[in-house]
Amino acid sequence: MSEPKSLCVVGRASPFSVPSDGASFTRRQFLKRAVLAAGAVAVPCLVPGSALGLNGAVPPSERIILGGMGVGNRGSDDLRWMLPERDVQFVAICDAKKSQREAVKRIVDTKYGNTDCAMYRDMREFLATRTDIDALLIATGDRWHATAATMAMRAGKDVYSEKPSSMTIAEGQAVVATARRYGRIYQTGTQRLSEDNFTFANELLRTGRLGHVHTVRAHIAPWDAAEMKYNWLPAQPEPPKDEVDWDQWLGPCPWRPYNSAYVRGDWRGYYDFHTSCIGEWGAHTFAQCQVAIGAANTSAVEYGYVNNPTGDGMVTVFPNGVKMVLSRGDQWWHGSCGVRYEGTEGWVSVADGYARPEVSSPALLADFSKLVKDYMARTERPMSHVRNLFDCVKSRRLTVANPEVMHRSMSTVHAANICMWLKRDMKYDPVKEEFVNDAEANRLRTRAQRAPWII
Amino acid sequence: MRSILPILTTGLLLTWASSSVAASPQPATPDQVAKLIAVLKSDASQKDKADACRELARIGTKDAVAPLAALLPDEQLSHMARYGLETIPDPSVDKALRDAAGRLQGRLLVGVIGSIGVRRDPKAVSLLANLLQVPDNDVAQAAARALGSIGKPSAAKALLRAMPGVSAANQLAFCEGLLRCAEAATARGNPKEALKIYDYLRELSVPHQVRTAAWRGAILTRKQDGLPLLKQALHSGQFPLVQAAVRTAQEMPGQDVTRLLANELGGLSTDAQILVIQALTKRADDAGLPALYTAARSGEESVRLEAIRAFPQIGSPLVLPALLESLQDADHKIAEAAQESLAALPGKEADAAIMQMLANGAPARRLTAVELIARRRMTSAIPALFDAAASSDAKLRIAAVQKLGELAGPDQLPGLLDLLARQGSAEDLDAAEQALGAVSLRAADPASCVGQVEARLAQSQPAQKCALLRVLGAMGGAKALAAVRAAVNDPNADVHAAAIRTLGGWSAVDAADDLLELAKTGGSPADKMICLRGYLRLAGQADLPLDRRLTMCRQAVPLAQKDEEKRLLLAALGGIASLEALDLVAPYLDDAGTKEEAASGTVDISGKLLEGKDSAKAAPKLVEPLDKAAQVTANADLAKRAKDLRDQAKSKAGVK
Repeated sequence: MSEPKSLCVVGRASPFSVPSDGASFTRRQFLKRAVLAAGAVAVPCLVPGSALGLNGAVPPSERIILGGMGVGNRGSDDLRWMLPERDVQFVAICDAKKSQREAVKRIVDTKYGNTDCAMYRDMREFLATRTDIDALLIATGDRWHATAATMAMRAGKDVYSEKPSSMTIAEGQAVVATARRYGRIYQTGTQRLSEDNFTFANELLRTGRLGHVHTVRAHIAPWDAAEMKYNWLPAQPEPPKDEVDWDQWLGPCPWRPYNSAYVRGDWRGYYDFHTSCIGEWGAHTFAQCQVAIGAANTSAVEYGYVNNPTGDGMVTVFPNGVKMVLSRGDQWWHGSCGVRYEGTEGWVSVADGYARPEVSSPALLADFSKLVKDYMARTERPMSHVRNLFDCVKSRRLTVANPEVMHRSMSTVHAANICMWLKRDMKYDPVKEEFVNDAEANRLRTRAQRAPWII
Repeated sequence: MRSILPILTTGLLLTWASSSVAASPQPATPDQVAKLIAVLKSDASQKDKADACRELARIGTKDAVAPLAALLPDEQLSHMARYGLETIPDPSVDKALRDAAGRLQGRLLVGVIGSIGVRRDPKAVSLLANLLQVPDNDVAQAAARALGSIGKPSAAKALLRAMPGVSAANQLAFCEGLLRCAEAATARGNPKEALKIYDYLRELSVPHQVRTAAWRGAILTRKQDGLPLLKQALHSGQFPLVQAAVRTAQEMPGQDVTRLLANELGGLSTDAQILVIQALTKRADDAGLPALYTAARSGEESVRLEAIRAFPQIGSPLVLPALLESLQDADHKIAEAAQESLAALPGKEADAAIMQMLANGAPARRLTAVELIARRRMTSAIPALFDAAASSDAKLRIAAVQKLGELAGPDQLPGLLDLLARQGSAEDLDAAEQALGAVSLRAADPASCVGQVEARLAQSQPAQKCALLRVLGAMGGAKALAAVRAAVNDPNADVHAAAIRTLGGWSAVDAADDLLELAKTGGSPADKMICLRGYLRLAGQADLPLDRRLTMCRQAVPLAQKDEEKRLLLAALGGIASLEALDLVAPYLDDAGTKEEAASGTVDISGKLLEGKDSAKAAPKLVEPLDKAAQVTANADLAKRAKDLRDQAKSKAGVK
């Protein structure tokens, strides 16, 4: 195998993991050394070029080595989205649930035509031993996202974390601090920030075509509620650890007896595991709205309590005076995860499944192509959330849904939840990251984590 | 006899506790806290005590500290005890945690250490320092991180003292602790202390992410004095360090940093150049422009591409000469990138440069200019596009007309009509027709546009007339329909044919009567067929009332002579859930050329009727047609479906 003349075979900077002695290794040299070292982690066999396509097959040294943690239903969608990327090679899965590990292995091995995908149960062992992995797909469920991402970044990995990416304001702060400290690339799974319809809506606002935007509306999930559950399901015998590692499944959350329903997916609605109907879609729609109105680096400062179980109709206000109204149901949209921006000169509304956004005047759509293309040229961000991640893994630029975007929008989610739980209006200071004159609310910014999963 | 009072009291407390966590939280009262404490002290279940701990996290006072601390050694409740304790704002919590740390081991100790770290208890430093070298790695690592969270100089000292002997398993945690201490020192306004840590870590053999974190900290903490380190990192030849240096530079505002990056750009490896260009782009600072300009004009393709892509983000008109030059580059990737960047470059200077290209450039440049005008939505360039639409260069002409279709508005309709009138070749005429159609469809007042188009019909040549008729067909409406209908009588055969075709393709039902009439009395068999097809297509529109569609189908029956026409009729009938429609379909089951479509129509209609509110009433009349459909069709799936529906119909009808 010959050395490439330039590392920029595909015109972009190349990533590689440097061994701990900090020597000046290229990726290729590191891989070779790892193979020769006794007891070293098994380096995957090189994927046949045909798996990557005949044209422009990417040399091994240019590939981003990817692993996964907690890849279930949604995570498998992400995985299928990532696997076709020619410069990515998925090598290992870690999951507390054996059937899930095996399912992911099947997907990956089928893709590559071999049996090389490794499986791990123990997350700490996985992170400690797989120093060859550059980036991780984390799709564990709300309760684990921030903790797993923090542990992964601390271990030198870049991260794609499904949303909602934090359970508390404190968790979000930890993700931001860790990413910054170690210079890690992180993308939260708010993929509509990389979709053309939603991007167009944001650009309409940014370019002033809606006039002064005074109100935005953010869809919240039509299932579950803001009121959370605290009950325990009936205890069932814990399966063998290799089948379901219940301790690891719970992770930093309070212990409760095992019941198979949780691991089958019925964890939503529980205070310990879920961010409520507000977080379920708000993780997406709040991020969209905040980016659109130029509030990506802050959170809402006022939260108006609404006397219903879901938070529907809650009005929040941002430092720039824009109101964001939480809305459940189909009053404003005929699809999921909708956002709507209302200005003095027009409005735009978009949700999943729309051919094009709905606008107050057809003339607003005339520049659809231009606005999206200009955005892509200006930001060098493709209309693919995973491609954006992988480009940034190579270039080390911030992703579109970077830690700050995640944390600030999730802080708005958490504050809205706390407002509902405490049943009163709230004021929040996004600079100090604390509630104003509300000690009780401030105590809900954090939750003690269960050992040993303490970040 | 034992009093039942404690049992009753416990029961009441449990009921209250479980209802309180499920119900709305009320502002804390001493009474509430007391009740929760009582639960902790009782023999309540693990769950109830855990719930009480959760509530105390929200409202607990110092009175709750001792009862919670008493649960710290409890394997089942230690975590929830910490859950309750961590947020109580009283120093007795810290003492309780320190005391527990002195007694506990294993996971319970790890948890307590974690809580000490969250609370940043400075009095716990020596306790934690003593735990750095215990055999339990989890405990040692937790202690290191907790020391980091505390962040005092004493904590840093303890970690630094322990580092030389740290095991490989614990090294990362210890480094994390030190990095947290360094950040805390910086936050306290003590950069010297922070630098001591960063410079120490920089020289150690540590994981790459720690090393780059240390370099980042060392550069940022030094501020301007960190620039030589930044330069050193850029030239290190170690890619993660180069990456970290570039990321760090992005956290440092100011032209000095921009100038450093710009000055070093040319001397770096290709990989590093790309990273630095991206950093310069993000800074959007004029100090970086000369270096970007140079990088765009010559050198490695990948570097040039990156620099060219940077220009729209920088947004300065100073980049125009480089972009305009690159448009003609022999490397087509460079040329394409330059075109895209020029398209996205904001500002009137870019507009002016493009207009110059259109006015004075070579043919290929003029074509590019036309593309760019449309891409940039330069509506001010519409007059220039009209001029270009009269060019002797066919490619330019057609491109200009196409882009007029994208940019022009109703005000330019007369100009487009004039343009169409002048077109000679089929290609030119087609482009003009498409442009006219696109502009008309965007108009807020379609009726006025129809009037303008219609007014030109009389004076137009046949080829132009045909184009105008097609445009009217796209626009629709009563007035357009009347004009197209009138054109059916045009003596010119081509115009007549165009009118017939346009009518045949009419999308609104207002053309139905005309189409039916022409299907009956049209000049030629071909005309009749076109009109009948158009009529049947309208009859199949799902948004028309059912009875209208049925009437239209009924009227079409005598006209559908050919199998192809009959099939269109059957397709239209298949969408009408009525017994009358079924009756109209029935005869075609006996026709070899249409039996399959008739069977399909029978099944579709019957299926809808059996789901409708009058299904019981309709059912008896469905049995026979479905039976026949099942017999005549050669399609096994269709036959099965017919039989299934027949059985359903029988069942509903009470027939055995």
